[in-house]
Amino acid sequence: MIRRNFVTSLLSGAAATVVAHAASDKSLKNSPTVSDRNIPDILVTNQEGKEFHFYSDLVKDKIVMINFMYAQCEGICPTMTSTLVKVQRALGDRVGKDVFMYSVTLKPEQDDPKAFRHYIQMHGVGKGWNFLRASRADTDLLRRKLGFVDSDPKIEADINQHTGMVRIGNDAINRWMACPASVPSDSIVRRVLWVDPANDTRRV
Amino acid sequence: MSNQTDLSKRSFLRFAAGSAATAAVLETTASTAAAAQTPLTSPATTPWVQSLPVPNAVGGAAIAAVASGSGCEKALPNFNGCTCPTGETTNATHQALAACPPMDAYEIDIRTIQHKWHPKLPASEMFGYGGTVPGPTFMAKYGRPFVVRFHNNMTAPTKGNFSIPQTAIHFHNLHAPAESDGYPDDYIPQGTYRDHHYVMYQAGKDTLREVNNTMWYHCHRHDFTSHNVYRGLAGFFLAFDELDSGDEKDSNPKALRLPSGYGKYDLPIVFQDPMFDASGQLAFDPFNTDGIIGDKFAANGAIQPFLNVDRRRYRFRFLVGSVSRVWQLHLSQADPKTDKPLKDLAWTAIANDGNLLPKAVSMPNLLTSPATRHDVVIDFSQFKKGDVLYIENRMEQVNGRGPTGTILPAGSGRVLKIIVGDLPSQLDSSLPVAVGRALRPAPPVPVSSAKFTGTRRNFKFDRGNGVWTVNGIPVDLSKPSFTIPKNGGPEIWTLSGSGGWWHPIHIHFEEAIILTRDGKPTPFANEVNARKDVFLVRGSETIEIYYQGFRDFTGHYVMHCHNTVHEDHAMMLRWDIA
Repeated sequence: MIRRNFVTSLLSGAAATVVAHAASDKSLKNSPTVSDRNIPDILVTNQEGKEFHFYSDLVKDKIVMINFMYAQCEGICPTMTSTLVKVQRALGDRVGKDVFMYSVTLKPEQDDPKAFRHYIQMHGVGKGWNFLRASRADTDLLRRKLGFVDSDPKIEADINQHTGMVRIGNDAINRWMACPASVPSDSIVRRVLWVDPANDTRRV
Repeated sequence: MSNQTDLSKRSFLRFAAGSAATAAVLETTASTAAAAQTPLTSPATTPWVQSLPVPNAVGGAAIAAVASGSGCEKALPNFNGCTCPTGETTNATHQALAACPPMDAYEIDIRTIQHKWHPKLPASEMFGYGGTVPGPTFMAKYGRPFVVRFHNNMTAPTKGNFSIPQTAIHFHNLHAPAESDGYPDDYIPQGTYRDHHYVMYQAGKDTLREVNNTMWYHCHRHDFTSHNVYRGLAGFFLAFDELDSGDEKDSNPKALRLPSGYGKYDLPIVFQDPMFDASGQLAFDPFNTDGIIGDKFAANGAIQPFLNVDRRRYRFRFLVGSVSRVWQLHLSQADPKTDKPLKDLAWTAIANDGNLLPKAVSMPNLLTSPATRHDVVIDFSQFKKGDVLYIENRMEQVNGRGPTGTILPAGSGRVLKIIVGDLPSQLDSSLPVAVGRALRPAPPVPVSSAKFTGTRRNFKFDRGNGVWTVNGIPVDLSKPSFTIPKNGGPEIWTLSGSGGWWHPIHIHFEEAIILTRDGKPTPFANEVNARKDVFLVRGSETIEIYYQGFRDFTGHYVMHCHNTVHEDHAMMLRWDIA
């Protein structure tokens, strides 16, 4: 069922973003507009049930790390999350202050705030890292805009082959990159430092 | 230009739809998605209104040759190995400095500059080695070691969502000690400098066979290579030796006397496919991890330029400086009045990846890809004044996966217009290059790879969970994947692709010879016994390559996909020599 929705949504492309999905949950309603940048200003809800506009509230002028996951994933997600927890610990109190971490669920129908809270506890995720869900269509829009798409439709439709990349960027200076979450955590920390212009004059 | 319109349209669809896979998806999403982001169709430009620029050579305004023959100590008072004041290097010393004392020293100022790709476009904000795009051309000689001090004076870009004002500088594929190879993590922070020492001797000191004549240098900054090369950090590096001496009047009987005269009859040309936003600024898409395919064709930093030629022999040194695009270059004669294609002419190829071939070969076209070089000789004395030729790229490609499989008809993909003019004022002193003419002997290869008993290494270039990998592993520069013993003898490496993706694989440091493509001899005449450093793996193809060995130096090197978007998204592997 979920799989079918996923495929349907993809094949109908961006047109799906303006088609309201039958969802009673307020957080799953579609966003009316997107920003003129690559990052869409979709509505998202975090583990505490708080609602945000993804671009204007969470990304604009900030250093961010964005990845995709879902709580019940038995594939790459647990390792990804565990690596990112190490990154979070290495960055210390910068997370939530001047570096912001976002994990967006690929299964918004399943991952409600309660499921996120359970996941956060289970993986030892610290403060300042938001787990987010959007509507199905907005999730796909965001994923596509962030470049996490496979041009092979079979792979694109197979959630077991979902992206293992982390998008890292600094919206304030418009510097964007991405790296796999499967590299050593200290090398991901370095990449976060690379998008901070304060480090342009030194090796980090 | 009808072909230009087509190109723009395809590009529009691609950008509008992201990396969606099928034509149906492309059509469905184009209109809606286009409304959601700035369409990336470059503004129209009129072709053939600017002449082909030629990069300055070393000694010109861009590079100050601060000393010649006096050694670097005098030229660069602070030069003392690599213990730079800022301590930015990861290698403590230059391993070959004592053995190869520098005879020349240069300083390169790396700056953020304004560059016009076309008279009708505004200047784009770019990075330039020596303050130019392309950077200045190094003219080096085997037997003359030199040092370069690279000063990073770049400011952070204010336009575009890409680049970092830092650079590592790789002299592709010079036989360089590891600390001067431009290893991706040996980047130069803003406001600091780094010294590279180039020994200018041949691998294994094989002065006859292990010579590279046409190379280039470019940014190799870890994870930002695609951004920064695209923003301008690339230039040519030519090296001359006794055979390829750069002097067509050379009295040395060994000299090949190829067409010479830098910038006149010996022309380096870098082909690129940039794209521009609605305001005319150079545009990039850092959110695309498949590959960047631009919708303009440019040569030496100019969109669709023209070149007036004399009726004599020319040497062209072609380099593909694209991020991701695979090219198939055709030489096409056109009707001067109607511009319609008349006939194709074969290329006379003399080198592959800058290495002179054992003999000149005829090629109906040149299949080429990022970082690959092809040297050709064209004799324009066969034409009459007013004749028109075009260099055309007829390979259709709409995304980073690889060419579509369609070869476009003659008259498509015109990059450079060549207009035949008068006889030269001085007689052509170069020697004719007929197909079959002996050039540079190749080092030996085994008769049969099956009987090879030395070390073999296998590499698979793959993708899993949206991550580019080599042997299933994304890049980790913290440790080598394997270590090769210095001077440990020949090796055979196998390079395999998967998933229908094309990967131009570049292996640093040594040149190798292709033994087989999919178990058979290579079908390309200009790859037979050709020393190469970029190996285009086409889809699921397997290529066997043969190395004489890994000679002379120790330290860290890399292999990677030279679709630099793949490279920047982890399709790279560190290997060491010890």
